[in-house]
Amino acid sequence: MKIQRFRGVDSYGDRTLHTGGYSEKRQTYRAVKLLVLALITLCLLGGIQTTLLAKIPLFVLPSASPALCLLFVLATGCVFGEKEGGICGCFGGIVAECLSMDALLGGIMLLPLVYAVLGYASGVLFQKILAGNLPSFLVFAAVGSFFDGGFRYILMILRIGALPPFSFLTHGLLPVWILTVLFSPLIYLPVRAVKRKFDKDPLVT
Amino acid sequence: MRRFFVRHKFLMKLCAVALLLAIFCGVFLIMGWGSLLHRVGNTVIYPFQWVFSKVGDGIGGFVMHFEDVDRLQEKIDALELENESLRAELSDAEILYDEQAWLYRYLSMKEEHIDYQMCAARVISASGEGSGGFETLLTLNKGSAHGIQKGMPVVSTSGLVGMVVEVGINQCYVQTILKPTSSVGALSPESSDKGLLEGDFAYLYQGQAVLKYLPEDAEIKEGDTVMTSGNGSVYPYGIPIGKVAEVSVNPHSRTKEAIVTPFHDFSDTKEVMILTSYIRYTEGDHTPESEGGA
Repeated sequence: MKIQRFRGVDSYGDRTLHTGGYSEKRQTYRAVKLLVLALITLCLLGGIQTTLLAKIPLFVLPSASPALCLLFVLATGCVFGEKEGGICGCFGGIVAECLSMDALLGGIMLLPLVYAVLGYASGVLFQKILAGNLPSFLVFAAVGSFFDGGFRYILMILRIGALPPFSFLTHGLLPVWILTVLFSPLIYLPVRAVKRKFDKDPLVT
Repeated sequence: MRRFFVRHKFLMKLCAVALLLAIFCGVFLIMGWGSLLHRVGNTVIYPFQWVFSKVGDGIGGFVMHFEDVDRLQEKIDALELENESLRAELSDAEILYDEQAWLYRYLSMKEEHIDYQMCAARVISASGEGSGGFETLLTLNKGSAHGIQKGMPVVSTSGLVGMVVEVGINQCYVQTILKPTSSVGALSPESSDKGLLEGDFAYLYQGQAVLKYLPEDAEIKEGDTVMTSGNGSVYPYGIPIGKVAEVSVNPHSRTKEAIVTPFHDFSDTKEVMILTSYIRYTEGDHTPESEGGA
């Protein structure tokens, strides 16, 4: 345990922390820190997704921007674990729902449920089935984005009655899917770097 | 199945929370506060969106600038082409306008002399060696193919120009009244004095000709107009030539001479009319003598 080798005064000014094992306080601090960081990151990514990337014409794909919030949820699940992925997914769903120009199902928030499941599943599957590297994450981002698109399609059908699947595929799902996969390294690599920093930080391990 | 639920208890809790959230939203929706959570969420996210919107505007404008360069270049090229064609059209229109104005001026001459048959011609080149810039020989763009013959008189809207001295298939040469070898039967309608208008080297530099062989008692004076007399076989009667600038007496021949400034500007002749046919009249007799024109 790194904490046992640490000697000094931490930010709490509590020396007893360094001598013991995992404490409840330390775990809570880590969770809160992660949660706040995740929330701020989600808001930032949401802002980038809906404004910056939506304004720049990417690869001549009209009105399409990558699902950065979803990527962050998946990356969190893959890197930090299923629980963190699930919680982050829940918040990511809320942010994604709030960012939607029109509420997907008349205001009922179902995206948190979907994102939570995807975040949790990414944590479980990434560790059990896929190798913990970037190509594996690309595969997972593609699958996750596809599921997200499919769910949105179902919600839209529920809302507006009928939607031509080919039109939705070519104009809605496919551009977002391609962009999401292309942008996935930009999310995964920083999240992994943050995780490594967290691992090295003696105060939060 | 039970094993799955036990194993993923955390997921079940999470799903329950998410479902509760959805149910709450549904209840809010029924109560008429459907957009409440969205508004709260948007309030939190708005500052982030605002910042990135500004950044996006900047980047978008920057990208747009480079996109616009190509688009604007294409537009400039298209406009330049259009401008070129419009310039050509304008130039054509200007030429047509000039021609129309020119023809209109000749129309008044034609109305005055209904017997005149005229052929419009353009000056291709003009020469006036040793004449101080005044034309003594003109090359016109009409020749035998257009019915032009040697000896036909050439006029402009302002007055007499000269006569055709040489004819090619598509061009002809005109000797102007300033040329020293030219002679035109002329008279002054004010005094009825007749003489012969000849080009003179002495006055060529001023663009003037001399009306010679006027009788000693001629009453011609400065400012009188001079026109063709119709005597001879070339020029019809009554074509204006110019104005008398000076009158003198030749002590050797005991005749008067008048220096005439032509009405036509021989420094810049562009278009003229060749009289291809006309009815010959003589002074004081307006019954047609014969048909003239070469």
